[in-house]
Amino acid sequence: MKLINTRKIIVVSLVLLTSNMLTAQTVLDAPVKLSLKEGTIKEVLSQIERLTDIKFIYDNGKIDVNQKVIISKDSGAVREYLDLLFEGKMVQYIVKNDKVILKKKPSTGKPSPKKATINGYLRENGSGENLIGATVFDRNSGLGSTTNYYGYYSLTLPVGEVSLDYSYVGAPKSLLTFYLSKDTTVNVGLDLSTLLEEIIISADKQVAIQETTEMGTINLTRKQMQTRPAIGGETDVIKVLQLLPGVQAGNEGSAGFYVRGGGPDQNLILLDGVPVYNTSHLFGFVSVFNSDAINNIKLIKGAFPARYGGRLSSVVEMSMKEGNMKELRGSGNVGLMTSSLTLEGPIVKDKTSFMVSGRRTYLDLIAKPFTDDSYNFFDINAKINHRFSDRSRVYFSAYAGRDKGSLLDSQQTLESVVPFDPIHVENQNKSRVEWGNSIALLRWNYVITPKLFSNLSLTRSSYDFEASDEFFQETKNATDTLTQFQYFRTSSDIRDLGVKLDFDFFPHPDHYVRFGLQAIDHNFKPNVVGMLASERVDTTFNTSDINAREYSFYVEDDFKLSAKFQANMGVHLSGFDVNSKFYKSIQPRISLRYLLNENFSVKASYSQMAQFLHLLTNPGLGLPTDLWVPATDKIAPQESSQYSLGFAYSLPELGLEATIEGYYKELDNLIEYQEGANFLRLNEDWQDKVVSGRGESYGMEFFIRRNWDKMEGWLGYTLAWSNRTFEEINFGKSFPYRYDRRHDVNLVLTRHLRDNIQASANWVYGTGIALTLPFAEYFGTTSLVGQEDVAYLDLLDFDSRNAFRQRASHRLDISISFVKEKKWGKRTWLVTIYNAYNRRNPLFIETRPVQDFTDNRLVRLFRERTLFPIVPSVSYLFEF
Amino acid sequence: MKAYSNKQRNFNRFAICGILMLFNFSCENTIELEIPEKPSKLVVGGLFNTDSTMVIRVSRTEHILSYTDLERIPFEVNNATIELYQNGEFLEVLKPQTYLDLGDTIRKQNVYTTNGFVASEGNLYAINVSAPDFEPVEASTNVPSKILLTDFEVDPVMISLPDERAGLPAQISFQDPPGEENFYALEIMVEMRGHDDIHYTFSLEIVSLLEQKIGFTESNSALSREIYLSDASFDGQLYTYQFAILWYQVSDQTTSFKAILKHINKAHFEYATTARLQEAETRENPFSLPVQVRTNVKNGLGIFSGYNASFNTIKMTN
Repeated sequence: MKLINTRKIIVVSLVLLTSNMLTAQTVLDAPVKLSLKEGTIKEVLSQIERLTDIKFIYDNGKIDVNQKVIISKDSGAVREYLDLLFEGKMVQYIVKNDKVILKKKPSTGKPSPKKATINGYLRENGSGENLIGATVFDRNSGLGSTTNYYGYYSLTLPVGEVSLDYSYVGAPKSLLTFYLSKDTTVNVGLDLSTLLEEIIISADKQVAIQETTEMGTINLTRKQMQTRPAIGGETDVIKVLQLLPGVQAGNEGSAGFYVRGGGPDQNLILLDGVPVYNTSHLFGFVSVFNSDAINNIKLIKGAFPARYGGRLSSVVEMSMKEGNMKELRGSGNVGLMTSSLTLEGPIVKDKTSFMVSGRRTYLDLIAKPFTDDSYNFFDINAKINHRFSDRSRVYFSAYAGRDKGSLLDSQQTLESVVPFDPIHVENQNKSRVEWGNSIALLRWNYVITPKLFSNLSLTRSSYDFEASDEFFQETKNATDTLTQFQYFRTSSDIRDLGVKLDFDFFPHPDHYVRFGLQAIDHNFKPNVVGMLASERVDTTFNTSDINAREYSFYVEDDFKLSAKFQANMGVHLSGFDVNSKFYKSIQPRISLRYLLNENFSVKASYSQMAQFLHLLTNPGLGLPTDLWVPATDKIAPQESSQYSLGFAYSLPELGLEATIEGYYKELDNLIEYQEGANFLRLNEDWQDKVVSGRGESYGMEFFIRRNWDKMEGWLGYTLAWSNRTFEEINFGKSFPYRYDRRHDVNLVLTRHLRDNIQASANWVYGTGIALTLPFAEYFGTTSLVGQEDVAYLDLLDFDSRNAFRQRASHRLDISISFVKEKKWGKRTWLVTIYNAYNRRNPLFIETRPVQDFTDNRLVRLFRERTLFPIVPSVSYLFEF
Repeated sequence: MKAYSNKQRNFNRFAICGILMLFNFSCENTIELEIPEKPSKLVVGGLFNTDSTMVIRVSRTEHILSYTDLERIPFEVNNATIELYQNGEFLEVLKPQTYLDLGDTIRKQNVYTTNGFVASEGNLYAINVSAPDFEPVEASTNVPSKILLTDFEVDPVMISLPDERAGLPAQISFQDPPGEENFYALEIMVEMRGHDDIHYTFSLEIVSLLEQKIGFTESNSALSREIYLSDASFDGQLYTYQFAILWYQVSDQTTSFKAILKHINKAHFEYATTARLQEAETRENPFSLPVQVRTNVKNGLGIFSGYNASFNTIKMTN
């Protein structure tokens, strides 16, 4: 009985099993004809359910049915469709009568040992521009990568199904799902049509600020620059940088900037990777960077990755637009001071493109009816890029900009020394000054393997300054004519030729290795003075060039030690060969990030930097007479060490991010004009006019930014100290750096009033600049034996260098833009009010004694120069 | 012929004009600066030699915004007490003395002098200076050795100087002691016979012929009548220094030139050179870096230093 029962059970079971199997066979093999050509997996399953008796059962949390698929089959068995939908997704089908249960196959627990690499470029759909800093993230493995400076990415993943999210700030995410079986190149285009309408500032483009190892790093977009209020409506890259914490403006209205207590020469300003030496037009009030031609800006103030070198305090990396690969586009603006026009488009569609942008001021044209004196400047940016293939691409970039000014002074006099023989004297004096930068760059990107990207750059950068004074005199009487001509000229010049080879190596998703080497040939003509006269031979002074060669090598790895701990470690090695002296420098760089929780991290970094160039600059104004000079056998290279510690926090759902960073920076071998040196004495050897010393700066920077509804903006606050110590200055005692600003506040807001109207405002506040003013007067003595009035040597007691503070500077700038779509494109009227409440911010203070003749007394007057009152302006911007 | 220095000045004018083009848009305010009042300091003027009694002037610093009365000797402190020490031993308290200064206007000067005491080479001298309402100050110095002038020549043929002024070339020679830092001050005096047959002597403005500098004309101050030298480039050598006596100071009434070579201390050298730089460069030029005048007076300002002078005279024979 027991045996019979057992047999019954086995038989019944077998029957049932067979029945089930047959049912399964029958259900899954049922033919079906789908009308749906593309849609989500869920939509496909629903249509199968409607066309058959099958019901699908699945867990939404485990089976992703929202993925889009394309149905390439018109008809087939249900199983064939299911295989198509779940190809490579490790999904099994369990049939229960007319129900099909979709279930994840159990994992073996061991990762597939086989891996493959996905590589390619991320580009903007509309223009074909490369997207820098975009992210690629695989949902299945949780691994990701970011695009490099050229928009290239590489991600090595386990073979199998991958679901890649391609994302870039302001663009909707793009999801790509496929089965990865071998190395695959995937070039992706993202639609950024919405991006350009937004104002975006982020500590990192897409990776949340708390997740990256970067510290003191801020990215800006072109659109952000264009909508900031600026003097005369002149949107200026550098002036937008001045609104960030840790970046201080120089004098009122100037385009110079000082980062974490460093000097203006300590900023490495790269335009498409090539250093730009002089960043100022109009004696420092306008920067040379035409914002129409610039695509992105990255500012690094601390935690310098090893790939950067050659300056102590900051790196500003700007990339020019590459040129639209799809269609001809243009943009420009007409302002009160300058106008600009930018054109870009394909030469061969999707293969070769160009961009050319020009800007010119018309100050000279406005002034022409009133004066013979003249001043103007212009810029031209140009770029061509050509794609040979997905592996090979070449770029050519160029920039040229120039300032020219002249003063003319003519006089005619009639002198009558001898009666009835008048002498006519005509004097003409013409002074002229001009200066300018030019850069050129040829770059070749080549993907050696999917994991190894290379870039070879040939660069040229130059800056020159020239001033001259012509004097012509003609003296005539009834019988004779005497002419005299004199010409005085001074010039300085720096020219670099460089070659650079960089590699990006992606060995593993947890490692991003960069390495490269560079050589630069520098040629300096720090000061050449020459004269030509009708009665003297030509004379030239200080004609000797200084030639120097700079070499560098770097390697860095940005790697994850654990889910919470990430590091960027590297070393920058450099050498400088000048005047038979070879300076070498080993600069370790390290940056660490530890995630305290999902939104909050702590970061620390150490950077050692060396700089082989010095800028001899006057104490306040960004004048073209500033001289770039090399380290020499007498003047050592500048060096710095910077320590940073900070916290980063973001709350994406509120559009909020905040950072707080403290830093301490030591600077060594700084140079400064010695006491009493006159920077206008261009003919003296600069090495005789400088002294060498140390500096330190420390402080704290706070930055909070939020985007909410129709309003966005940020608040930056810097609390800082910066001191200098030179043995020969201030009796060897430390003194505040001129730009030692204790407090610096920047509040930036933008409000979208309507779809086509946007209002922006900046409010800035900065502690007054440190100045040296006399506190007291006294009388000195000499050892002259033959002079009686020895006691009347009038001397000033300055007490201490930079012990006095100018008044604090603060200012409100506002702008409102009215945008209108036109048949031909888009136009914007930009109305700006600079210094809206007419604050008279100090420029400099001069002092001099004035004799009061009524009381026979001397009184000392202090006079303060202020520059810009309230300045309204209107600009017209257009795009087509 | 336009002077070379004028060309430089034109260029500088251009540079400044270029800058000031921008400032045409700017505004100028005469402002009330709140420069903090700091306690006034004592200022010592004590440069002495081995040929005469020690004369020390004591004055005070005055707040920069206060008025200077041009009728009075500025900022004198007449109630100071000066104690003099030699090699650490108290010598005497200097006595106040008043004499008439025959400068542009006749004024009384109050100084402090020793009672006939003359400093001598090789000794260390120190002073303590105190006065009511001032923090006491102190300073010390030695008297360097005498360095003899081995040669002094003046060429009566006028030359054109690099700055296109006219001058008489001249030179002195002396042996610099080896192995030590030495500093010198050179003064050239001229004796002239006036129409009333009275002989006048005064110091001349002299310029170096060794420095190839082109620049602003030096201010015609007391300091431009001394040239200061450091032996950094001629240590231990028999050194010949070439200079020019500016022509405008010489006439056919000149009867003699007298060269005075003063062997001075480093403190004196630094004081004089920084004072000269301050006066020449930083007064009314907003673009020049301010110069702080060195001092060896602790808690105060000024200079207390001994020097040793040697002379050489050339008689002119018309």
